[in-house]
Amino acid sequence: MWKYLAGRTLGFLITLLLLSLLLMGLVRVAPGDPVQERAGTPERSFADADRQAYRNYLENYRRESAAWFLDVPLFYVSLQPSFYPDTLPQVFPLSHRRALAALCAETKNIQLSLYISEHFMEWAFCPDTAVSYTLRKTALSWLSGGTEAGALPALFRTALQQERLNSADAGTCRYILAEWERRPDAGLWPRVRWNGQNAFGRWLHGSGGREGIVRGYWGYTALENRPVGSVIAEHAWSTFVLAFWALLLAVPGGTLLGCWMALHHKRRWMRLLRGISLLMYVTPVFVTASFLLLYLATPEGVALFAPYGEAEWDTSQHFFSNLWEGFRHLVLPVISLALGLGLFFAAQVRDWLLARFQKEYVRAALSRGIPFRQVLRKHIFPDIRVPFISMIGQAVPEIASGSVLIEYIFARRGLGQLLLEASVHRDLYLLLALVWLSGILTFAGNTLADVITAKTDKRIVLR
Amino acid sequence: MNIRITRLPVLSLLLLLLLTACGAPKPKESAPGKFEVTMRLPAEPTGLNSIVNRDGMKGLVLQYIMFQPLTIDNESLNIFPMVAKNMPIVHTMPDSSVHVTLELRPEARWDNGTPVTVADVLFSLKLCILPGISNGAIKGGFADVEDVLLTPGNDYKYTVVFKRPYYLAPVIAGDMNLFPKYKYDPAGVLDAYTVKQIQQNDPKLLADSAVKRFAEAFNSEKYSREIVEGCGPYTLEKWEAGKRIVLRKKENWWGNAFTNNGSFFKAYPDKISFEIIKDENTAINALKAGSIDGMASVDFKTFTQTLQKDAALQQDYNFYTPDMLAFEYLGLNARRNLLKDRETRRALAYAVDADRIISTLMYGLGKRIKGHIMQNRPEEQSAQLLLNEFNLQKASARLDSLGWKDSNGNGIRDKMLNGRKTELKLSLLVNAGNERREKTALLIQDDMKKAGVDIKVETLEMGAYIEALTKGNFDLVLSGTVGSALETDPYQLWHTGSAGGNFTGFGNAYSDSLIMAFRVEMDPERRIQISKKLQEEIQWFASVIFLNDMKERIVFSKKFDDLTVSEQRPGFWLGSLRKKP
Repeated sequence: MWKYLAGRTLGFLITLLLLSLLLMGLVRVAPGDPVQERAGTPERSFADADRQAYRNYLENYRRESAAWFLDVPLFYVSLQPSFYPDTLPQVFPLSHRRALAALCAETKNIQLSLYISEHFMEWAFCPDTAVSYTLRKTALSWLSGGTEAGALPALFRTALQQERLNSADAGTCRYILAEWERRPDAGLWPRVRWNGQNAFGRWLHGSGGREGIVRGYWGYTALENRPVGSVIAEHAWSTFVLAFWALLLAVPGGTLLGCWMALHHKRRWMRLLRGISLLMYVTPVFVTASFLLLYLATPEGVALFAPYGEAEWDTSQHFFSNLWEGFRHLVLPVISLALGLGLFFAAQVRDWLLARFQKEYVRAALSRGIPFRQVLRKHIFPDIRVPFISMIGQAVPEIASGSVLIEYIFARRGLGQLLLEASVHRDLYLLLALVWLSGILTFAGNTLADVITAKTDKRIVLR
Repeated sequence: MNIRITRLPVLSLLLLLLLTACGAPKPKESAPGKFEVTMRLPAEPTGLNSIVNRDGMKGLVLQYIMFQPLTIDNESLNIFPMVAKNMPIVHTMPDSSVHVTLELRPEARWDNGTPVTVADVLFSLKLCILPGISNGAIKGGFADVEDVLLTPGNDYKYTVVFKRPYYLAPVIAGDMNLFPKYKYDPAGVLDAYTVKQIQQNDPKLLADSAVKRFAEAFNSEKYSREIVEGCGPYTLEKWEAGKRIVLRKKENWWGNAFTNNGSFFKAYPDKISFEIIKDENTAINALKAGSIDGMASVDFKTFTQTLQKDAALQQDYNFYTPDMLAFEYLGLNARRNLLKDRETRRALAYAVDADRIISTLMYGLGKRIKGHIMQNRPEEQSAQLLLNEFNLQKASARLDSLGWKDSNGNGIRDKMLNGRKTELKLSLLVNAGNERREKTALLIQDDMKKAGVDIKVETLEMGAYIEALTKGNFDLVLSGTVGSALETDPYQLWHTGSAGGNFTGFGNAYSDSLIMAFRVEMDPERRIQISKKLQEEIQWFASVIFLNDMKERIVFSKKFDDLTVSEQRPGFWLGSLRKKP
């Protein structure tokens, strides 16, 4: 048993680390630039040809990008083309970084690409009279990521042919065009590069004065700059309450319903009931929730329950009034969440029971006069408990995933909503912490189910 | 039936009855004469620090807590002295620097009773530019501020020095939320450095560990969620994360003496509660149940077809539709081969039916526009501008004359370009999640098809949409802009060097020179003339087809009177509300 648990835990940890790396990579390659939302744009620096302001902007951007781990390469090892500069991650902002990467890929010449980049930085902030209109416009556009690398030679030719360039700028343009034509042999093999400072390592074990998750440091949220742990703790209770009551309703409720349906399966109206329960099972959660809200939480219906939010304990109110308020706020989201799962349980239990009712040992026991209740308890239930326990283990992540929508509709502040917001805003520290939390809970649930199964059924051996 | 099985449901029923019998809790009642207003908030702010937190929701709440020397008046939509005593005095100096002088109201007070002085203004400005603070999004606006000069013997008068002319200098000088220095920097860490030193990234400042600690603390949640103080009429009473933000009116607020000076000085509700409800349908249910008193930015269709037609809501709620200072447009990427020719762009413009978009998808809550000048400034709009004409015959005739004909009868026009037959197939970029824009794209696709142009609608998630815009990976794009009541700096939208807003490739040396001249022109009349020329150039270039402006959609309870609605965002001021007897 212990070997099994140790092996499974090790496999789980490795999986979770790989998943974390994948998540970091996905956030990195996703389109858009989340750092720019916080750091702003350099438009004003461009408009005022203010080189110092642009430098300040770059410094600020570099600092902000650390929150998204974008200031260092992703992993310890990277495979990159030999014509990419080592300093590529250090070039900010994202538009500039990507423009330089594209330029390197186009020219296959690091030196030429860096040369062009430096001159663009120069031309973008020159006064209007000191540089040609085309060169300045091209430089500004390239720095903002608005000009494709492949279009640059044509723009340089235009500047040479149509505008009066000063001798230095003309010489620069001719040199660039000449070098552009002479594409060096970049070689076939990519370069393997070791990155001592990398995003994954920083997150895992920390660096530069920061700790990592191995020391229990889960970081700060990118947007609110609050400790991830306290943000999760704020949201966890709401999800726990919702999930607890939903499971409590779905599992025993569904099981009892399934038993009852199995016992009365020969009745004529049972087909209709099965049809209705199937219809309710396939109805999406948000439709169920909307109907419940409309008919039970608004003046157009009964207005018995709260339309949104969570109840608070009000010390000025009576104890049972507070209890009632809690009930009012909880019942609709719990029913919406539990309904589908409960009906699924009912259908499964019904099918299992009906299958066992036909078994010879059951019919033999009944024919010998053993009460049906005793047959159920001593012969049928032990037979179905293994798949039943497994089904409970699988119900937990299902409830968790369903809670995202329910929390949104009922304006409840839970982990589902938090995960959604973290994904939308690419809040990496928070996202990783939530993925780990979710993974640990799923792992714990499944492992517990396996252990209980092994304990209840001696035929099952965990290896 | 087994008696044990029946016991459980019976017990449950009894428990339910017991709970039900206790009845609903007593509604919370305010003290006599006091009242509370509850408004929906569609998303939770990331924080209430106007410098560090950049989401839009915080402004909706913060406007009741923090005041500025100057603001935009809700009614006149002009610059309005809020904490300043009067309008700014502007001097252009011989060295081209611009001096903007402002004087604060001596009556303005912080929560501890001390007056708002120049020291607080200086401190607030330093926060906007200090390295280490997450102020990147606003820092650029103060890039031209060189120094702040104090007036000896007068703690309320100051002069902001701008190193070069910029037409928005008077606004920038007064457009910052005022932070109480006694609360945020009691140790006076920033007193050791002048504005000039901070702007120039003085090495001593950068090496100062006390400043670094100060900046870190300022960026933290303590100053976003716990300590939020301003000289406005309300104070943060509580913030229940994810649920609500409650503001409480200050006792003996200094602004009570200026109630007749403008809507911002009206602060009648004793409490303003912002309920965080993300889903609009949930919010509508909450409105009907009376849990909230009002909501804004309601979906166009929901507002006109559901809410306004609901008899019960009509009885209990008022519906407001002030103009929004925003517009939408169809951009044509002039950098693309098929759209490089101005005449082709002009021809395609005839196939865009903006009237149908307004009537079908906006339910009349918008009107046609001719240019980018906001509705509140009609005198600045050029008389040469024309509304885009929808005329499919003209579109077809023009395309025919340009050589675009359907040679193979497949319904799509084609032409020989560089020796190859090229069909007039264009992509139309739309951001996902905006259902109305997605439907607008379909309407445009439909009309273009009648003119023989094949449009493929590409719906992209916001990040991918912005990336495609920045890189110019589109032919047509549906987009919009939100402006302010003041003259907007045209650089971002129209300068050829701007990839942050000029997605369609509009412009040339002439238009760029107009924009640069506009920015440094301090005389408003001359600026208007430059702006008119720029508007005419934009119309001539035809890379932007202006579609419509929009109206805000606000629903508010009839329990209250005198809601101030305005074109200026967020569109309303709750402080002016009075409860009906």
